[in-house]
Amino acid sequence: MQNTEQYRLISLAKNGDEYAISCLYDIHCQAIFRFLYYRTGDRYIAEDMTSEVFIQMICSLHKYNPDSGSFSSWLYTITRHLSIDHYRKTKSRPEQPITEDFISSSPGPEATNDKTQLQDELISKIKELPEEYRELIALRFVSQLSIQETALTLGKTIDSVKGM
Amino acid sequence: LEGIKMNKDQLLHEKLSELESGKPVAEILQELPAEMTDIGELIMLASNVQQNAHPTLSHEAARKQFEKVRTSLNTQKTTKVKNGNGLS
Repeated sequence: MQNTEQYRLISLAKNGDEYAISCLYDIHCQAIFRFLYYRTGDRYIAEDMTSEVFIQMICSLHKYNPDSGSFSSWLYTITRHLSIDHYRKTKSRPEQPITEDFISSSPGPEATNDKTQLQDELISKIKELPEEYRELIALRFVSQLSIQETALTLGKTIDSVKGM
Repeated sequence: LEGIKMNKDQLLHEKLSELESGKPVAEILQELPAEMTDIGELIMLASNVQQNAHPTLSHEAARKQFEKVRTSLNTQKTTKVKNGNGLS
């Protein structure tokens, strides 16, 4: 989507336009959900938190300034803060392994088993990472944000992200 | 120690950028100094994440979650009207 079209939607959404908000939700909900799934390791928590992100978005939209960075970065900043709050409340890192939910196609049972095993290993390795690398991998390789967007989301300078 | 960490992190960034630009992971790992096994593991992990089929929010779940957003929006609108303010 062109930035101008998105800015138009943002402008309408700031005034409470439900259609504009639903468009922004449709554009970003999958990416936000994926990020939360990798961060929490739990599909249901990630689903619930996805709506929380957009509720927070509505409340804070008047603070968004396009000159400060992309809308995606701003939305990921909200997402990241909510996930940090979630950890503070639960006071633990995610425990539930990601298994069959990862599979988006329908391969045969043998392929499914291999894939599930690989995904379990992958998630368990991600869980072992220090928080900074966990976020870096999720933002750059799951959400596919640029270095600049990653830096904005993490509240760091581009140089410091390059040096992470 | 701080200097070593900076060098390691710089190297990690360079290798992750190479991965993002499509360089084969085997080549990246081959070029790593032997003592950088931890960076190698992180690059391998990033490569697996990159290639993995990511989870998706089902249509039903997406609609269900949007209903919560819509309810919150309507509540906010009602509150703002009661208080005599607009949303923005």
